[in-house]
Amino acid sequence: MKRAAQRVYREHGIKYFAFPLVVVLLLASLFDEHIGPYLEKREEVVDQQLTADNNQILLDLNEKIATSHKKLEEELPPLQQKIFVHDNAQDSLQAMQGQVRQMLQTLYFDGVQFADEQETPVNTVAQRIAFTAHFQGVPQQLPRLQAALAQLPQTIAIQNLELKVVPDPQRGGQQLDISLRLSALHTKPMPAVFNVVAAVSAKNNRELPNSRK
Amino acid sequence: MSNRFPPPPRRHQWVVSLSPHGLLVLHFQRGWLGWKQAHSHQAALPEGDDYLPSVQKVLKDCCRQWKTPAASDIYWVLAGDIMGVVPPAPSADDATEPGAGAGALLPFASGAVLTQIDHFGQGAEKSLLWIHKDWATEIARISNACKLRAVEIFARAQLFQPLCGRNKNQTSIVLEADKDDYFLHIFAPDGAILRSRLVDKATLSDGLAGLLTVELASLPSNEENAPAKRFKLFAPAAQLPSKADWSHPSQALPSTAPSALLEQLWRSGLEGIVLEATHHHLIQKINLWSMVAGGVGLAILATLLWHDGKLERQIEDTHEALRKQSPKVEAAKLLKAKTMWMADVVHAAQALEKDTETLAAFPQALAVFPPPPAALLYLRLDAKNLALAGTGDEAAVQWLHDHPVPQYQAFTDLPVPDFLAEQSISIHLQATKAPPPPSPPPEAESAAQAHPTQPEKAKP
Repeated sequence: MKRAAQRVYREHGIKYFAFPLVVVLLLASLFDEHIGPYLEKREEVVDQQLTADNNQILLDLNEKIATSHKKLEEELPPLQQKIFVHDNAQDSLQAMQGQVRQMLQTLYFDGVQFADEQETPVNTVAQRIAFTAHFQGVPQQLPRLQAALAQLPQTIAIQNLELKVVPDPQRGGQQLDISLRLSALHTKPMPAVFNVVAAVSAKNNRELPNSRK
Repeated sequence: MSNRFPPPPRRHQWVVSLSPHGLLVLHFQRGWLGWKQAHSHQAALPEGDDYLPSVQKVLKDCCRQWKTPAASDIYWVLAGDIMGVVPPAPSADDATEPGAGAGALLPFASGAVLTQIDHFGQGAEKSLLWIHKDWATEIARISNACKLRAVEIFARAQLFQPLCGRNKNQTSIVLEADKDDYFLHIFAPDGAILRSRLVDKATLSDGLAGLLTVELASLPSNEENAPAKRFKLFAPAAQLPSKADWSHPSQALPSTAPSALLEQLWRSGLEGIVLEATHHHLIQKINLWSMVAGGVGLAILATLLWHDGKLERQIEDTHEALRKQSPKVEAAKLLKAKTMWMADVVHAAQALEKDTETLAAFPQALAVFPPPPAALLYLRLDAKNLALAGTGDEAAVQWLHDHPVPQYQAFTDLPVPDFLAEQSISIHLQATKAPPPPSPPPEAESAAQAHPTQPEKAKP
């Protein structure tokens, strides 16, 4: 082989030895041109398949989701009336403080002050808003406070209550120094896009059970 | 029209070393791991008219015994009595090819001999191997008679070229013994063959040193290839001259088996006189394998392009199907998002409803507080704990221990609050809310209905 290669090289130079190299380079060039778009298409097919599978899972679950939706539509309105619905939590907090201040003034509590305002996310939709109300009163006012809280349009919960019997410098005798930690729920208004769900789902529900077609 | 395809691969090759009184035949066979020696045979040859018929007979016997296929290639290695060497000589015209100068020294007309330049060595002037055409014809005839194909003839001196080519700056002299035959080879410092001839045993009896002196003196000299003044002798140990007769370095010839030397020459790139060219098979192989590689590559590329088109159609079809499905999917996504939104609001609202029960314990705490003269001065209430502090006597404290608040555990001591530290506080107790009694596990169906966020868990 070595002897024959020497003779071929002496007679023809590198012509014949370069031939395989040229073939390989040509093939490499052709593959380089076509392999990129081909691999992109393969990836696109995989992505499409994933999207189709996800869609199918979603459509398969749609009936159960619709059932839950129907149930929640009945549960939500009475509950939604008891939570503060504003564009941001600060507005809800102010509304809540306004209600509490009005309620305490109606019950003749003195020295109403608010402090320690707090906004804590409960989930992706709702936030707990809370603050501490500090005021003075007498023991006879307390049962009415509980009743008044229950009559507020929104649900306001008492996280903790602290009573101290302290001297009353104005009237003499003693009075209650009361600290109430109050909390309520805030959500933003339901996104407008959800309002079209009813119309669309009503139309599609007629077709969805056989959505594989 | 020439055949563009190489012949079937040859798996058998022969190498024959011919000397005046002996013949060494090697048979090589190609297997999966390459060429290997399959057979060897050594035979003595008679002198005179029976010499060539004996060669033919030995080869025929080997063919019959080894059952090699017809037209296997055979390489011949011939001694200096048949295969001549013309030492390198300067040519008159510098433009002529190497060896042209040596060609002028041929003992026969150039048309009567076959020649081959010995390319071994780095020197510009090359020695010339030659064989008379009658001998070449006879060699080819014997080969054909044995159904073998004589392809190349080597000079016996070429067996030692790799050894002597390593001795730079000194002329190498090799005296080789093969039974009763002696061969003298002289090599230039670059390994080029200067002389290769048979030596009579009688001549050697007069002393090797004298023979070498005569041989070296008779070598042609030119500026480039003149024998160096330093010589090195390789000879069988028995033939080495004494220091008194031969002042130059000498060394016993390495005792390599003749078959090994032949195999080394056959495997090397050294070139002899070509009787039938075989290197065009290599060209055909290169072309064939290149075309096969190109064909396979193009076939793979075509498959790739075909599959590419198929993928493109699949992408279009899937895209169309997804587009048609899109309204349903968007509606389902919207419904799911809204359901999850509603479930989150309902969950949060229900959790808040539970917290509204904190103040329910307040009247109960007041109810269990002991009657005057005990007086409540401090009360703290949250979802889990109740703390009381006030004035009273031991009986009041015992009263509270005897009357725990409903749904709370028994009272324990509470550190006196700071603002009451200066007063005489007898009652400073706290209680923790009792855990709710275990309720029977709800049925799966009712549990599913009680958790409207279930679709969220099932989302892909």
